[in-house]
Amino acid sequence: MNKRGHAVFLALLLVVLFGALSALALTGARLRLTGGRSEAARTQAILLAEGDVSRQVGQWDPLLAETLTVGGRALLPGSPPPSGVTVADSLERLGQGLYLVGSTVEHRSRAGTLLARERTGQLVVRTAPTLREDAGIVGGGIVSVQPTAVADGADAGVAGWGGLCPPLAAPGSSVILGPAGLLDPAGCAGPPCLSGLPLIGVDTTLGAGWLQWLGAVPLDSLIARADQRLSGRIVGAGPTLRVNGTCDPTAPGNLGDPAGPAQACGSYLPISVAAVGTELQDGVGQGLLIGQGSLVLSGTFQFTGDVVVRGSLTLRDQVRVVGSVAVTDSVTLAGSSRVQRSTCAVRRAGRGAARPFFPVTRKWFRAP
Amino acid sequence: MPLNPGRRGFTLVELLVGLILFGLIGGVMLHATLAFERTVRAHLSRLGAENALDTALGFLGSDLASLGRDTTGSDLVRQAAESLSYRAERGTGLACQVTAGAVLLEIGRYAGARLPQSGRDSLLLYLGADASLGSPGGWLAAPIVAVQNGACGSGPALRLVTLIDTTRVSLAGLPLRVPARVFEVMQARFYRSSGATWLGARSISAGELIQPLAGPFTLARSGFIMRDSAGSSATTAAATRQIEIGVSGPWSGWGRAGLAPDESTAVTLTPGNLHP
Repeated sequence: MNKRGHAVFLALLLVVLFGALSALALTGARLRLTGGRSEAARTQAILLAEGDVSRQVGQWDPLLAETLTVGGRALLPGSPPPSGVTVADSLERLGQGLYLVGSTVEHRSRAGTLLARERTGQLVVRTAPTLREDAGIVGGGIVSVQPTAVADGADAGVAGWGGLCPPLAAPGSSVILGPAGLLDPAGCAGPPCLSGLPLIGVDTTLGAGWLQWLGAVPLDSLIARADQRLSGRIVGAGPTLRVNGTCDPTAPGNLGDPAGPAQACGSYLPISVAAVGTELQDGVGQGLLIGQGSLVLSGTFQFTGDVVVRGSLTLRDQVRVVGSVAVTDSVTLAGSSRVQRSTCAVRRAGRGAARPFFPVTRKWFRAP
Repeated sequence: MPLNPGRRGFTLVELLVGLILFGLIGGVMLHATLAFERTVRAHLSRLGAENALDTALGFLGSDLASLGRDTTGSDLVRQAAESLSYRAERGTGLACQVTAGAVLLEIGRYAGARLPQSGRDSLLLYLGADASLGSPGGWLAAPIVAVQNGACGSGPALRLVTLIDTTRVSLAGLPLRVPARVFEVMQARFYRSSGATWLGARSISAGELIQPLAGPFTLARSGFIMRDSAGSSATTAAATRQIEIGVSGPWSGWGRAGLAPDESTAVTLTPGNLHP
C-alpha cells in the first residue's frame, strides 16, 4: 500500500512538473508571438504611413494648397486602411511655399489594444514657374495684329480681384520679339491697336527652345502635372460646381472662375494643357493655359492669366486675354480680340501653377 | 529464485565483463553527452551573438536610417571600411521663431528619443523655402549652446541658444514654422579589444569612449560598405545612398577557432533622406 501511495504521489508530481514546464514554454512562445506581432504591426504602420505620404504628395491638390492659410492644417482623405488600422493624413502649411504632408497610422489588435502608432511626413516646397510679365505678347515668330484687334502693354488690374492685385507696374511693351521674331507688316504697326512703352521690344536672349523652362520649372513638368487636359473644340468652358455648391476641379472644362476669389472656383487656378489643334470657343478661364501646338481661341472666350504656346496661337472674334501671352511661333490677333497685359493676373497664375516640383532635401520629417 | 548457498558474490570474470560493459556504455554515453553539450553551446553561442548583433544593428539601424544630405553636404562626416562618423538625428520639430541667437522649438511638436542637450547636440534648420539664403541653401547647421525654457505663443517651447552667422545667412522671410532637426556626431567602429574585434559606437560630440555593441567578429570580413544609387561601391559621402554592414565571426565557439567555420551576415540600410 505504501509503495502504491508513493507511486501516485510521484505520478502527480510528474504531471504538475510537466504542466508547469508546458505553461512556461507556452508563455515564452506567446511572448515571442506578441513581440513578433508588434514588430510586424510597426513595420506595416511605417510602410502604410510612408506610402500614404508619397501618394498624397503625388495627388497634390493645388486648390487646397492655395487656399490653406499659413499655419493652417487640413485633413486629407486617406487610402482605405486594412482591418484594425486607422490612417489620418494631413496637410500643414508651414510657410508661404512650404508644406508638411503627414500621415499617422495606428494599428490595433482585435481586442482594441494599440500595437503600433507611427507618424511620418514629407516636407514639400511649391515651386512656381517664372512667367514673363513685361509685355502683352512675347513672340518667337511672326506676330500679326489686325487693326481691329488690340495688344496693350500698359499694366491693368483685374476686375473683381480687389486686394489681390499689387499697385500697377510701369508700362511695358505691347509686343516683345525674339531674334527670329517679326511684326507682320500687313497688320497693325502702332496705336491704337498696339500700345506700350516701348511700343515694340526685342529680346535677343529668346533662342531656340526658350519656352523649355519657365524659370526653375521645366515646361514639360507643368504639362505632366496638368489639372485640365483639353482637345478638340470646346465650347463654353467655365466653372463647374458640385451639388453642394463647392468648386469641382475634376470636372472636364472647368478652367476656374476669373470673376473673383469670392466665387466658388475663384481660387482654382488650374494648369490647363491644350493638345495640338484645340479650339476654345466662348466661356471663361484663369490660371496657366499651355498649348502644345496650334491653339485657337474664339467667340467670347475670356482668359485671365498666362497663355504659353509651343506652336502658333490665334485669337479671333471678341476673345480677351488679361495677363500675358508667350508663343514660340506665330501669333495672330484677329477680329476685335484683345491682349491686355496684367502683372497681377500673371503673378497669380504663377502662384496657382506652383507645385511640389522639386522635393526638399532631407524631405522625410517626423513631427507630431 | 533461491540463491545457491554455495555461491556467494561474483566471479572475477563476471566482474571484469561487467566493468568492461559499464566502461563501453559509459564511454559511448560520455561521448554523446559531450557532443550534445558542444552542439548546445554552439547554438547558444550563435544565438547570443546574433542577438547581440541584432541589438547592435537595431541601434545603428535607427541611427543610420535618419541620415540625409542636402546641397551643403551629407550627414556622413567620414566613411571608411572599419568606421563611420555621422550626424545622428536625436529629434525633429518645428521652430516658431529663429533669430541669430536663439531658436524656439515647440515642445508639442517635438519628436525624439530625448530632448536636446547643450554642448552635445546641434541644430539643422530648414531655411531654404522662403528665405533667400546667400549661401548655402537648404539646411543650416548651428550649435546648441544652451537649452532654456521659452514659449511659442501660449504654448511651452524649448529656447535653444545658438549662434547663426547672419552676415552669411538671411533670416528674413522665414516660414511661420521652421523645420528643425537635432543631431549629434557619432562614430560606429570595428575595434580591437582583449584580443578580439568588436563593433562599438561613441558620441564624438560628447567626447565619449567607444562602447561595445556586439562581437567578437573577424575583422578581415567585417566592416561597412558604402553603395551608390547603382549599387556600386561609393567612395565619397556625396555618392553614398546605401550602407551595408557585414559581420563575420567564430560564433560557434566564442573565439575558440576550429569548432566550426566563421559565419557571415550582412544588412543593407537605405536611409530615405540620402535620396534626392
